[in-house]
Amino acid sequence: MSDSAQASSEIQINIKGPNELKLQISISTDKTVLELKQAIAAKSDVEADRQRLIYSGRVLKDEDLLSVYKIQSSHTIHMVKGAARSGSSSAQPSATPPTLPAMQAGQNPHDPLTQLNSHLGFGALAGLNPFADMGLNPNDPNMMQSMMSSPEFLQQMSSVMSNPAVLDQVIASNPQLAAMGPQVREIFQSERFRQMLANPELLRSMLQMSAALHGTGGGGVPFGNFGGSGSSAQTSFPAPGTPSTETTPPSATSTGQQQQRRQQQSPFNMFGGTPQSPSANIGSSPFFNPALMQQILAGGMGGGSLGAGIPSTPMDTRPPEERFQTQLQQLQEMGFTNASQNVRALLATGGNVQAAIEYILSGGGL
Amino acid sequence: MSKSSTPQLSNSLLLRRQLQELTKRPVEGFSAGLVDDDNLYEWEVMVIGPPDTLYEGGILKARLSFPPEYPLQPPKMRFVTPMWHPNIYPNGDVCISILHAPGEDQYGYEDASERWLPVHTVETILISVISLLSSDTPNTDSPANVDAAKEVRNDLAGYKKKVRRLVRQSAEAAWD
Repeated sequence: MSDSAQASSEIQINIKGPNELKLQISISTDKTVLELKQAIAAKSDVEADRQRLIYSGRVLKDEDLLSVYKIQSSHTIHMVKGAARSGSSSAQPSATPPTLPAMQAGQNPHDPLTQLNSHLGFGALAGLNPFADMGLNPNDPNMMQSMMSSPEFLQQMSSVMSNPAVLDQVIASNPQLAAMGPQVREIFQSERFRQMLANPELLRSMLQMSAALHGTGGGGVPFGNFGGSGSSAQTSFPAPGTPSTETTPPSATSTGQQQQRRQQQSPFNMFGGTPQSPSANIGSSPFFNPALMQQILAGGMGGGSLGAGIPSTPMDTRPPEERFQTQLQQLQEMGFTNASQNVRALLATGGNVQAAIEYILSGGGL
Repeated sequence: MSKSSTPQLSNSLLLRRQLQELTKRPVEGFSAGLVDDDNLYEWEVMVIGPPDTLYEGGILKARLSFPPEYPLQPPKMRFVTPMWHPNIYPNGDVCISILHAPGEDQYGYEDASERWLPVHTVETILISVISLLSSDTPNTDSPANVDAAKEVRNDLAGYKKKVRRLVRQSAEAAWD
């Protein structure tokens, strides 16, 4: 390793220390690590010989020049406070000093975030990780939107989606997708769908819809549908075929449904076209199919009855009680005893029990 | 950079992006970089012992090795710092479900969704590992280090003492 870098230059370094300590230090790259530590000591209460600086997976050595580590301006260095070097380690055999590094939310075992982040909580947060490598806060809708316009991101998405092995995993990991059967694969692999994914406008409206469905929180989770098995998938998938308001009679609906209607341009509408002819018809509105229309109106819900659960039986003309017999029974067994509400919920969610429960619990179908 | 869909290129892009982000805006609790600037597939990681745990004050060194098939296949994580934990093999290999390749159910009890998914990143792996170290009583089912698991069950105080000693040593080692 040589320190032949360029001529020394002044850089701005961020220091992240214990107890949420944050410092900004301006220093020249031809200074040593020890000099940096002294600069930090001047600005904080941590003496230089108790600091350990960590950057890029390495502990910085006192005698090295900063240029050795190729630290760049605006980069961040972790500072850990420890026992002084000369301190006799055997003098304090058990407890570590009380003033040791503290980290922010998410790392403390008692912090609920930690549990979400842990492998056990996978699906609660891990599903969002396509964005983590971009350092984006998935809960910040603005960050999401700016990312959506990044060509690199879109290219990544599209290459991920075009890999059949990835698709298999994505589908297998999401019960809702798995339940949709072989059509899902076709949808994911279809050119149209991928174009859709690559269309920032559509993604943005998808994002908005997802934000609307989730109220204020959890704005950035449209991809929960693809990556995770969290609850987001269940809330945003139930009524993909929601048709347009102009032609459906107004009925007492939950706010969630109204929000869905407002999002008429939502890409999810495209899913509505799949039951009749998965490959050719994606993108056509379910409205032009009279049988479906009838079914929707018969339900009196105005909500898409083309839910994820029944893509293969759109023409089924049996009464809903018969069609959803098993689901109705399940709902009964789970303690949802209002039969007519159950039927309406199943109609609204296309026979998906999970979604129907959410629908009922949010006050729909009464 | 030319647009190409060869996995080699797209995964190096993915890794480079993660590296840039983590260098610029590191996540609380660990620091990551390349072992060798020319090889994106070998990372070195410093895990900062989580506060309020046995590992408080520790500076734990580890390596992440990405296979050419990444992100379809998970990287391997191995601690260079000696560790004493039921879910870490004596050689340092970390045994957590999200690092297990999808499909094969080598361990019999894991859900597909608990295992590796291409959406995982260095950050999510490290967060899982930090949470592993943060748990008060480690999981001793199907241990990677049988002796450590036995000690957790039979002599928790002894186990904790041993971990503490290794943690102190790791902090000392960080000087050199």
